[in-house]
Amino acid sequence: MIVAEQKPIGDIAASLGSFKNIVIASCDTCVTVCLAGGEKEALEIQGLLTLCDRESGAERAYTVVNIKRQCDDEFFEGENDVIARADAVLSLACGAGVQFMAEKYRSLPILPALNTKFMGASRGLGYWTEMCQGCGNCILERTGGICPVSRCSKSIFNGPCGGSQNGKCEVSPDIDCGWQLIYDRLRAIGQLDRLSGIIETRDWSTSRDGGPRSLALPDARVGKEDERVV
Amino acid sequence: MKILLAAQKDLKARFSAALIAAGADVTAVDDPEILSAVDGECGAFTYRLGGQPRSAERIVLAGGVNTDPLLSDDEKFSARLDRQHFDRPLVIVAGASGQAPACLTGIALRRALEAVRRRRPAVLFAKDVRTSDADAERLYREARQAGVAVIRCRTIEISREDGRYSVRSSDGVTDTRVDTDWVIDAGAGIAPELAAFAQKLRLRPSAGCDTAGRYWLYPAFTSRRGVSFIDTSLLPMGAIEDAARALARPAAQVKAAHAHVDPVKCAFCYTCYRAFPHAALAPDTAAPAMLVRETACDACGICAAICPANAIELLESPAAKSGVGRGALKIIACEHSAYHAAMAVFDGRPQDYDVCIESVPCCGSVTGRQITSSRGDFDAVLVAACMEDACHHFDGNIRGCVHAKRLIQDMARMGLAQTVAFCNASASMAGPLRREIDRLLDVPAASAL
Amino acid sequence: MSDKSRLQRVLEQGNFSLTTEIGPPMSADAQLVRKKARMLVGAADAANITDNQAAVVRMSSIAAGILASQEGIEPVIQMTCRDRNRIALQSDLLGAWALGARNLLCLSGDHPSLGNHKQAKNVYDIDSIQLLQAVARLQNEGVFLSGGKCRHPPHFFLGATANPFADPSELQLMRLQKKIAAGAQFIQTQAVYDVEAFEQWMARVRALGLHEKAYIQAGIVVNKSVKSIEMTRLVAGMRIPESYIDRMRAAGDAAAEGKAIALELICRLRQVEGIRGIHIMSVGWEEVVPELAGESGLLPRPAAEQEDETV
Repeated sequence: MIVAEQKPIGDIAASLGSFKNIVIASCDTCVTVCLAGGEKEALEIQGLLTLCDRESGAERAYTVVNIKRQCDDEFFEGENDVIARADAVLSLACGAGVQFMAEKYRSLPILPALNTKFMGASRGLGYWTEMCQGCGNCILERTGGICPVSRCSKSIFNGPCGGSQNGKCEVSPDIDCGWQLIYDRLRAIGQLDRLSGIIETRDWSTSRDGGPRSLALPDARVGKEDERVV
Repeated sequence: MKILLAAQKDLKARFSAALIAAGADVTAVDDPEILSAVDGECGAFTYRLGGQPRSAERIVLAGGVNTDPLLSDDEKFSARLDRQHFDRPLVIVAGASGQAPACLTGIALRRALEAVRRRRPAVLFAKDVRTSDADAERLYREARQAGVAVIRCRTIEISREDGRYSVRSSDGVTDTRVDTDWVIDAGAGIAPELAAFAQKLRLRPSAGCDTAGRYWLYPAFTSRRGVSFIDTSLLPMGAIEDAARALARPAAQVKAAHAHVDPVKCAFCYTCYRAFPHAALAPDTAAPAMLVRETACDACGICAAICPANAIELLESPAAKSGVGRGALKIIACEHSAYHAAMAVFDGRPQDYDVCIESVPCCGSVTGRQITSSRGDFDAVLVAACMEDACHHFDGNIRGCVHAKRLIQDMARMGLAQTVAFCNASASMAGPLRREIDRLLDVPAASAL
Repeated sequence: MSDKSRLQRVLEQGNFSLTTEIGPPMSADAQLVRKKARMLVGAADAANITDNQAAVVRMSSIAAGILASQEGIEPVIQMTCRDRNRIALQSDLLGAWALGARNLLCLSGDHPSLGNHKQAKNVYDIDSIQLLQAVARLQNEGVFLSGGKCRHPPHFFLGATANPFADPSELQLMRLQKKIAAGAQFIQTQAVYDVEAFEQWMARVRALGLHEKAYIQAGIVVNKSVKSIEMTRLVAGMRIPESYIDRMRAAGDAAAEGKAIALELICRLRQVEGIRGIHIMSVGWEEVVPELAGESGLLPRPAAEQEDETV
């Protein structure tokens, strides 16, 4: 799941500049689950900004709209009219949603309210950790299901480095050494032999290093209608 | 009424008999080992006894809390009080740790009040006095007004010589010493089998009132609806039969106020399920959404406040409100304890001070939106939660505190004046409450909206 | 066949090697490097030139290494994987060889979060084992990582590091094996203070036969002050018995005590079976290296002439 975090309220307020009619758009999927940009957060921001405007004398109007997913076209249909009347949209979606809206509403400034952080998993209430970097070339079967790209601070493929101590990374005692985790896991599933060979140099061109990526599935894109790109 | 009775060994027979006499169908256990897999909700619990699946409508924990017998026995106390010399005080010490759980504090205050009414001085030594509901709030004020001396201390030392006690205490600044011949210890210990049962029932632990056991259960309510705890050492003789009759009655009906989840909006993120203490939410994978078990819902509102999709609301929640609709100060206070403390500050008439006091089921249910919205109508807003470890919803007051403080911090960062505040409140610890009220009512007219 | 480096000749001819370290300056001042290098001429077989150690920006290892060699001390160029991708790494190697460098040590590199440019992007295109493998292949087969031919490849004396005290120890030993299998010809260990623990580690190394496959050199750090030994203790993977810290604290002349401790360690480490050399990290205190070399009987350094290859 995509995990994002709200920007400091001061930064959000500063980005509103001289806009008068602002639509606050929540996204009801990933950022709701990570408690950053759901309907509740949108209402909280609306309440706080309204209060601040009254104190400062700024004249702004805020309307909250809730979009199920800001990365899919159809979900905007019901709110198009409202959005069209705005001067700017404060989007509580992840980076994908903010950009999608920016493409869709060409003449409307779309402002991000969140900092998108990582693809991760929930570790308990209110706590998520980074798991996947989207490198496009998954080798998790060779490392016991623990990713050396995302979980090792140096993305070492033949780790650990000399800074691993008591299972923690030299970067911070809060970060587990990814290779300690890999070693423990491989030992637990009886696959330590996976470590006997040297893992070869990685082809990073499948990752973001090869340029922005896209995915087009021929099975789905069959008819003329499917060639439509939003 | 099918009841599972989990009782302390020496009480099992008597309590069981009392429940049966009251018409209940009782299964009684005194050994925590044979109980397992407890699940379900008030009115429909399931469990396994020695591997055999069973069901019950209600679960009752019954046990004695080890405490001074004079605290619990009316006749014995009265007789002893008669013999007490007029100028030797009754000293009640809130346990060796200086901290007595809420229910025992109530008993201690009642005894102290009784003593004072019969013209014997009474002194209560405590680290703090935990009042956690309306009755306790009232009792505390009554006791203080009648002349019970409550001495706050950090350390207590009791020494005894020839039947005379010397009680020394210090609060870090002042030392106090009282010499007397009558000291009652209002500390408590809970039987280990009761603690084991509490664990099996997945009752939430309360951190503050820990003496022998890790779990402290408020009398009459636990963190799970349908599971009751009867402290038999606090019941006068004959009251066990009364308690049994009350428990044998049909299970509580759906409360007028309860939570409801909108399955369309629900993101099925499990935030509510993880966050809140009562076992009243269950996942409905078919929907998929969270489902509220209405008979188990305590209508605390914490789930509604924390839901990021704004998918939960409290239905038919009558909020007690006293005071004006717009004005100088709005106090949002927890209905159990803080509300009464706040009302007492204004002698029951907040409207005379241009103040409104609104009660909520728990401060954990207060959202930032609610606060900013109130701030729209009032010059200042105070969120008053129950004291630490006195929350009926275990950490609801902490959630309320964290949310309110985050909002206060955001407002400060935006350059707004400090017109929103948070404090823990009870009649027994009115200092912080009064200070905040004074500060907020002093807000100059210039920042009024 | 090109000339072998002095360090390689010393070791291959059966001598006990002595290497040390020069930390390049945080400036473009060539004189500073020359001054340090001059102090070490004749006192060691070669000197490591660190590569932005601790992720702090310093003059590059290759540049400082060439300055050092001009003053008469042979450099061991260090290359970390942190700052350069495979294109830059291979490119710099070609240049280093062309400028006369003959020894190369491959490292992962300390993470930027530990240094003075915490906002830098980490490169880590390939890891240190993959780098060793790539350099070995370039040297032995004349082929770049791309598969393309290199007409005039380098022939560095290739080295890697080992940390006897890092976790998990089984995996660290496995890694040492891989480094040697990938092409490492000499190994320099992380600084040793706890000789007993080091001896236990060496026993496991010998059991795997690794001491015969690569020249293992034990590292030591020389501390000039109490603060120095306390800072050393904070480095990840360092293990220092309390007695050394106490000695430094109690000493009237901490520098003299630090030197005495180093001498003891050199003496004990020379006895460890499988150790073929000592690597002294003087942490900027270059003056002490010739003294240590002399007082531990390691001077003069062997002649180790270039062997006549032609028959």
